[in-house]
Amino acid sequence: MSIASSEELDAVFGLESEGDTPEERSLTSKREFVRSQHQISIRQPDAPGRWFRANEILRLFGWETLRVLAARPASPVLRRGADPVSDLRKQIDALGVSEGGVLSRANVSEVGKRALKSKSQVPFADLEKLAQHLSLDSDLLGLGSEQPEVSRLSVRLRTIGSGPRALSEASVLALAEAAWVIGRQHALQNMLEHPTYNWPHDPNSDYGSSMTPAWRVGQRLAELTRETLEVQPGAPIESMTRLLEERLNIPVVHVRLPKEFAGATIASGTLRGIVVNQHGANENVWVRRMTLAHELGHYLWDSQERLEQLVVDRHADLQSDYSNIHDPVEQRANSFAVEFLAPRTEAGDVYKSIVNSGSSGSEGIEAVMRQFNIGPSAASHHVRNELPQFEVPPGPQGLQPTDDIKGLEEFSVSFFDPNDVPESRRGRFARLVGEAHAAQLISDDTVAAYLSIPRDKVETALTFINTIQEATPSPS
Amino acid sequence: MTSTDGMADLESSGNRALEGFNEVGSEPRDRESAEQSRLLWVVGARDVPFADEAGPYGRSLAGGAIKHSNLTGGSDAYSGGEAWRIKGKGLLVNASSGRYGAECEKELNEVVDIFRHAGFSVASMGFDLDSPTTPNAVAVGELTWLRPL
Repeated sequence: MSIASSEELDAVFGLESEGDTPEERSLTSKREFVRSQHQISIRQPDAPGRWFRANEILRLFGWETLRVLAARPASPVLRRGADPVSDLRKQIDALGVSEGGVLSRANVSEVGKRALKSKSQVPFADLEKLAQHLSLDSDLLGLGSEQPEVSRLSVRLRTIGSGPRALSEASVLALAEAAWVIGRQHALQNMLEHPTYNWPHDPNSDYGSSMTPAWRVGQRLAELTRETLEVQPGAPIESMTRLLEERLNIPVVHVRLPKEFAGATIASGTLRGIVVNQHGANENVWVRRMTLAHELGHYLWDSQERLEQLVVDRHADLQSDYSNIHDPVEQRANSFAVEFLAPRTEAGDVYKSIVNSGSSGSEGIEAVMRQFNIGPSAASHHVRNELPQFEVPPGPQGLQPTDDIKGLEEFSVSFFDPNDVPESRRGRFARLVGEAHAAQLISDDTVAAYLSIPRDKVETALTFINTIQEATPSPS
Repeated sequence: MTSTDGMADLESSGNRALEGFNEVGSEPRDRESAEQSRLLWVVGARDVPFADEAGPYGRSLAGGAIKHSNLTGGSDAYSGGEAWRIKGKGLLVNASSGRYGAECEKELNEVVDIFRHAGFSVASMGFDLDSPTTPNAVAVGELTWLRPL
């Protein structure tokens, strides 16, 4: 790369910018840049296109592409044989979804729809929306670069299940978008130079044997996990969401899938995250905690090979007594989940103390539920396995988690201002977006694109994010 | 820059003026192909000079290419941009010039008509949908070829 002259730097970044290098100039430049389907340009007044900060566009395209703007109004960005629309159509084919389904889900503008049909220029904002819903990195559209690992992983979605267990198009697209959020969340964490949590253990390939059933292995792994995370012996887990996102830096994406699905662990190479269904049984925070713990069991302990298969877990399996589940992988994850949330000795002690004081078995289960914030089925199965000498009743129905635990687990996901921000983009993802904006790493327009909101709601969203940033305790 | 440096004048020689410049097989749609056989043009008060941006004269300059001001000697011009001779189709033009470029479709269309009057089939790259005063630097979408006038 040749050295940038001061004339070129002035022309590209403006006379008010300071420094001797493109990087220095970009940080002090007041200029904004538009990326369209095929080129970038310095933003003109009233340009409607997707715009970026100077340092953002430099990071995305590099000086050799930007320096063209010193002499020309626009700099082409596409590489030979590459085209954003072709990239998107290839991914649509790979995922086995319909173009109409993606256009509708991504809320593509009428202008964009007409342009796609007539093969004319498509607004970049629409290309970007489509990329997000197809788990492609929109920054790389048309650049001929290899897409990130998460994009390749989502292609495996179409292979999940078959016949009645196959995923619907809507579910494939919801998971593909979740994969995009996971990839982008990792990218934001790296951009912000957040320290990553290094889990010190290797995956565990022991899924049980005739001597040691898989559920027993799951319990041991849960004990080891609690010990590694220095959770007080027998203590309840205050918030699974915070533990995963704030302490372990695991992206947790909330999506709406058909009711029977509980969650999934998405992993491809180093990019990993957990997807949790907001719909159905997970609407109850106790059930959702169990789903998160189950996925954590997969995430921390399953081999990379197994995780790459991308299994989407169903509630029917998660809520069964682990000893009745035949698949050793799921049996292990189930026993991991309940042991991680409610160590069996302590759960048994809570139950015994209630029952031995003259209260009913049902009240004993309720006490276990409230102590560890787990659901009735899980509590009842767990205590029954631990105390086979007791006549343990089924868990009492109709009980509700407290507002405190709901607040801890649903913090900044169940409520967001503006309400237009989809659940998949809330929580820690939104907070990282706000942090990147505050650090002047991304433009207002990038905030709008990442949070999937109109430009006129960016200020409201940033104010809200700022409020929740202040209210978020540091990870413990 | 003069005719001995490889500059051709459409005003005096019509469509034969460009015969010495290379044709390309298809419209440039990406960064690399846009740099192949790219011509610069301006519409001045008395002439319409064209030249190969990276021809022998351009390569002898410090930047390795001519600029529009090499065609005008630094004088004013009505309009300026880039062009490619597309094999079997005609002249593909845009308004990409930092100093002389048109800023709207109407202005560029007037230039297109000048080239059509000179005997060329012409297609315009037009302007960027996302930045309507910025000319397209490569072809995007389907092009409309207009016959000579």
